[in-house]
Amino acid sequence: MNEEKLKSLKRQYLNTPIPEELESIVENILIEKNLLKMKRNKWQKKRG
Amino acid sequence: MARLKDKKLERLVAEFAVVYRENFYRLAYSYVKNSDDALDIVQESIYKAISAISTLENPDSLKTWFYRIVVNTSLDFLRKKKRNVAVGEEVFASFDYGIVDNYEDFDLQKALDNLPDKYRTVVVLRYFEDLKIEEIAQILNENTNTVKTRLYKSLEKLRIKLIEEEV
Repeated sequence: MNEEKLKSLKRQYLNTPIPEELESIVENILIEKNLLKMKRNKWQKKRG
Repeated sequence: MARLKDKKLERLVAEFAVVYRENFYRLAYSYVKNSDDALDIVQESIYKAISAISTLENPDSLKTWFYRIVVNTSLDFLRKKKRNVAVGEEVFASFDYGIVDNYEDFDLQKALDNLPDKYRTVVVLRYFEDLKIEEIAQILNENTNTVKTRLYKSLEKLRIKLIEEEV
């Protein structure tokens, strides 16, 4: 395995197409997590 | 106080995930060869990281800790999939590539894909993600000598596979 071949494989790896959905993935998780937290707090308040 | 610390760490994890999301995606994709599955793995990994934030003892090891979550989540996914999917579909999945430079690269990629997970993982982390041997050792929870040996064997196996295919 020479270095050139590994570089070529790395190029292919870095060329993996990135889907648009990835851009908002972190924000969506945080929003979902906060919504769940709000829902839980509301439920706990209701229970007193 | 502990809650404030967790909040700070959560923000750190989120910021880290934003910076490294493409690395995590490519890493996950290298295992599953499927965009939807790779996205699911990244999403699950970030969830796990945020949920398990209190188990992160040293924020300096955030990078290797996060990579470990992505690697383990990918391997778990493959284990589950192996139980559910017929072998034929997996063979086709391994040919699902974006851009392939030429036939030789295609053979090489195929040879890499056919390596057992533990060998493929060290090649991807070392040569494609440019991680240090020490970092890979932390991610895989192995000592550095084991990682070096595994890396050497991986390259050896790749060379042998290529020679076999040429014959």
